[in-house]
Amino acid sequence: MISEFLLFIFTTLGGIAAGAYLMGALFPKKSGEGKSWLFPLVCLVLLGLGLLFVLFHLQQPQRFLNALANPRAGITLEAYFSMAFGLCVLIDCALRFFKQKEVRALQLVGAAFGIGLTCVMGYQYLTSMNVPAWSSWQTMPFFVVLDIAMGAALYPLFNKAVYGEGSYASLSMGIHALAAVCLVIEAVHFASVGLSPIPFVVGAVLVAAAIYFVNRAKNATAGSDALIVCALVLIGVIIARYAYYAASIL
Amino acid sequence: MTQMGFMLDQKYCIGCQTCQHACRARHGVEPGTYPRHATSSQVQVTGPFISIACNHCEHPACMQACPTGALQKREDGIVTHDPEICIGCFSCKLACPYDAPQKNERMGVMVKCDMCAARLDAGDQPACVMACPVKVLTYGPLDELEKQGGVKEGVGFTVHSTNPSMRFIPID
Repeated sequence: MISEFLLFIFTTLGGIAAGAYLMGALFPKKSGEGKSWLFPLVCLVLLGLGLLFVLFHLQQPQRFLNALANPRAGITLEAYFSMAFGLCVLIDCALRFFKQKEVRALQLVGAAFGIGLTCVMGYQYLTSMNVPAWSSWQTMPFFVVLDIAMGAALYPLFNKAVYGEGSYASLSMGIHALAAVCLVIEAVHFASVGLSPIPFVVGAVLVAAAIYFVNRAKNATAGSDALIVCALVLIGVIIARYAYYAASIL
Repeated sequence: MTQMGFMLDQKYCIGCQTCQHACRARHGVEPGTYPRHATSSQVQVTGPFISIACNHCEHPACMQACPTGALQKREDGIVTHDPEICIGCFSCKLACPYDAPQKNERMGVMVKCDMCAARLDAGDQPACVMACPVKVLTYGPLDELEKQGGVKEGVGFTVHSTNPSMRFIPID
């Protein structure tokens, strides 16, 4: 297992939550549909699980509150953005469950904190000068775009009608295309520092293949295409991200 | 502000690694964990050799990456580490382009060269400098090291944007 496995879990689960919540905020479910609280609850669980894993990455987990001391550090920023994002999602979930009410402004603020979280995740690795594979500009889109892509692939499982809205399907295809490009760019960068580009190429092919199924899901009523898109994007990104963390020197 | 630094005369360094072992003993860490890295004449038969620890950079990447504030820069420019605050995330190790911070597996925290700050404060020398049998590893304020002929560039050493406080006597 790679030394950074727990961080890999954190950035993947947290990234999916942030990306999916963004899509939920931009394309809200039609009001009146039941169990609308389930989606923010899933986002909250994903983020919470990720944070639990990151706690065990620390050699001194009992001192984790010390990590809030330096706002210039990537880890500190991750903690602050996680808290802000998690709090917004928690309030959103509670409002939906107890009051059957959705506050759009709150969702948009939560989504902004979520995207902020993906940015500071990228920043944390971008500033890791001891790992040449990480300390390059390709790291930022590798986190931000791929997290949004994973979220865009997951969200339709909670809002089955969303692919029927042409704008979501078009945006989704655009995001997956951009994600595939980001993976190819990362593959080229890894090759330039003497590491294998193959996992990134495999990831790019899987994410690009998802575009076909998004196009099919747009016109079909069956839910299986949404499931295939989700599986392709998640597997593609996870393969690439695992390889990314394998470059660590820890 | 005074900035303390190390200086190495690579022309006369014999690659004995005594500095590396003295440093490890001073920090009380297990064999294999070396806050100072030195190339060995037993591995690399001919020089020039190099001996590098924390470079106490002007803009330490480790300090910026540390979420806890366990890494601090003193008035004299020495970057110190407080193991009582450290959470063992090793962000500093990932951030440092010189791989200076090391894992202290036994304590579950990071360990790095602090230029033997406690020894300096007591009027003594850093352990590595004291142990060098050919006296090619020295230390002092950077301006003084430069007056003695120290330059930023050394063989096998990259000057990163952190502006390391390491000087070398040029090899003719």
